[in-house]
Amino acid sequence: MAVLWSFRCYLSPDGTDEIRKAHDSEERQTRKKFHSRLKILAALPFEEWHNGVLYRELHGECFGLGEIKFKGDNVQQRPLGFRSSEYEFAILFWAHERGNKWVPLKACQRALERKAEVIANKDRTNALWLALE
Amino acid sequence: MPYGLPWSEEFIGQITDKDDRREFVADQVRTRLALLIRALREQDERQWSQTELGQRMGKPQSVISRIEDPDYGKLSLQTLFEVADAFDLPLWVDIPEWEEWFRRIGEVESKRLRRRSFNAERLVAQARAARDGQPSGAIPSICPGSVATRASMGAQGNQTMSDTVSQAMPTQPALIDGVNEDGHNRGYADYPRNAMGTLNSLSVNIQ
Repeated sequence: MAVLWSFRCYLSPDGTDEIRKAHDSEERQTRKKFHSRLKILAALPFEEWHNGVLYRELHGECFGLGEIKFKGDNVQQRPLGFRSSEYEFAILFWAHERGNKWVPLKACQRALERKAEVIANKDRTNALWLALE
Repeated sequence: MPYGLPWSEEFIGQITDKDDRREFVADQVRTRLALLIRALREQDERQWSQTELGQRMGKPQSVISRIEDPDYGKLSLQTLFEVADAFDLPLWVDIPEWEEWFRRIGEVESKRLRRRSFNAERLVAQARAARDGQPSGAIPSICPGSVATRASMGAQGNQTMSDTVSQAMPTQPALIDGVNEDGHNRGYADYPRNAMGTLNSLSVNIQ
């Protein structure tokens, strides 16, 4: 398998990897599904991310973001991020979805704020801590 | 990472816990199967909608949508036989060693999941070429008597499924696939022995 993509994770101003922190607070199934899905996405060209099964680009108030979609521990997991360069995806915020609503409700707003920070300063991301191959 | 290996020391370090490994394998297998079925359906020669595949299987579109959902955890072996049959492809089930599983499970790009349906002319031409000592492309060997080979004898057989994908998590990884008869796009020569497809753990009873 060729790994095409690298993933980066949002760092808070104090240097905390917020995605790793959210990941570590999840149950085992969710953690390993996240690892598994990133491994699969990493091997796919972007046009094959687009079928809405593994990933979906968002619109409306979430425009400019995409969600990695999977169900872990009976909860719809929605790590939000954006394509930060040709073969790089920055994960900004680990949201959930319940009954067609974001949890937390302002997940997109917070992710968009983080996106602006990352665009202004790329040091506000860390390389993904998980090995994908 | 040594050249050509699809895993690194760091990666293995993240699946040393057996429970972690079980969850990881389960998702890889389910997701790859979902992608495989979708890729077969959308392959250029077919370009079937979910409704069309459903009609060929005698199932409503909603069932196809479900089996193409990587988060759906209850795909049965019987349903897989029916899916493969709709594509006129055989089914391959295996519980391989980890090295082989790592090599195969990463094949998720749609161009790596293309499979040609049964075509007697093509197969006969290959058989004749082999008989006459002419190169006929990479033809995978089949292990006679293996569970996978017996399972691949067809959806019309009287096999029964005693488990589903959601149950009996593996201690060994499992593979399941629609098999490409001639190794097209697959690079079988890279594999130390026969290798096909992906699924979670299951138990097959061929009578």
